[in-house]
Amino acid sequence: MSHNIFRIRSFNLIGTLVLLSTMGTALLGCIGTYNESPLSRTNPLEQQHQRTNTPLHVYYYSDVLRDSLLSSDLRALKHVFGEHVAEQTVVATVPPQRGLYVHVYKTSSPGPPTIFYRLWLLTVFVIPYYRDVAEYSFEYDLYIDTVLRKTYHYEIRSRHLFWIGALPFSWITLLMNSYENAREAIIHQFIRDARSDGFL
Amino acid sequence: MKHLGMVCILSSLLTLSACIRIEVHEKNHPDLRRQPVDDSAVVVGLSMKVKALLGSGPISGAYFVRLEEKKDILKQDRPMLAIFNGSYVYLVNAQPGRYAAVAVLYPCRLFDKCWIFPLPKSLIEQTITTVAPGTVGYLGDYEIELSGNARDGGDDVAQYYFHLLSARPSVGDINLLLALPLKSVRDEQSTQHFLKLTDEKLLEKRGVKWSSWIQEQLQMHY
Repeated sequence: MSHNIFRIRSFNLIGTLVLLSTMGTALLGCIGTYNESPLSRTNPLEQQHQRTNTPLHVYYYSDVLRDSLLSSDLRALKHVFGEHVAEQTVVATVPPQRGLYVHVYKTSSPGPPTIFYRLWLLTVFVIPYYRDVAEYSFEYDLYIDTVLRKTYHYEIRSRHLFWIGALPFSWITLLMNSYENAREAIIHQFIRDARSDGFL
Repeated sequence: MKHLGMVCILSSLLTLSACIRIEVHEKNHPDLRRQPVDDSAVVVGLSMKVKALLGSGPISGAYFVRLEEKKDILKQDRPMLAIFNGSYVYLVNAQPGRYAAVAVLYPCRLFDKCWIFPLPKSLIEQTITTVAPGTVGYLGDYEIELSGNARDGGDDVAQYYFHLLSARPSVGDINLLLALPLKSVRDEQSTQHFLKLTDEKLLEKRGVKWSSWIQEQLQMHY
């Protein structure tokens, strides 16, 4: 009898562990990657350009609810511009009378939930759900002396596999291209494009 | 048994590390949801309720546009999401200029299902407000009701935003419905109420230039 109780208790403990970890991870259980074109990893920005000593003014808007003006996107913008374009990067809501001004408009479009997404939810993550969407789009407006010179469009695609069976392999995500890499590649690409147009 | 537990914990940790990205809010950064990024930054706010079967409910967000020079000025390409805070929806640290509300969001329900109401042209025109640099703009207080599916009707501006927002649903599943304006108020009293609540609830009286501008406005009318 006591042996049976022990077994039941052990089963409860292990069962709870399995259930908790499965539930917790299944909710997030994913293998995902973010891509843009071209990838920054294989195409880093060349360093031979001199940075200007006049401040570069930037403004950033994101419709992603958790983002604020201090989001990591803005920090990344300031960091990359600071490394490659200007010695000082300033957040400004209006273009300066003289100098460069970059207005970044970011939108997210994860797309509406599909029938497969609903099935994945309804079957408690047993049915695999694969998503390949252009998740984020970026528009960079480049102003010089308050005049809009050009708008550059970029997007980040994401590919995710959501499936409870993918759990043991979810660490693969760590080896994939992250959103941060993709975002940096886009900033690099913008600088490259603006330079080839003769604006930077 | 122990091994099974270890595997569970390990797989949890691996997945958490792979899938979760924690954004650390750095301590020394000012809270830019309440403070202006520069002297020109503005706050834009609006109040709107949706009449339903069991009374009226506030919207959970709205899409504002900054009216930039264009052939058809009401048809802008870049709607910006204003978020509910207290009794109003706000766009904080926006650029100064002329603003209008073009669509509103009704609270999301199960499975991220949201309702988006593109506003009719006449209502959009009523919301147009010029917001001077460094100030707080109020687009008004409105009440709307559902008047049908936007797919089948609506004016050209509502249709335009229906297609624009359908193409980039950033808030999950959307149902686009036409809004019929019932009430609109933008008098001195409602403006003062808006300014007072904005300073207290949104800015928590820490809005620096915005807060002092609001206090000036309130004192001028006492």
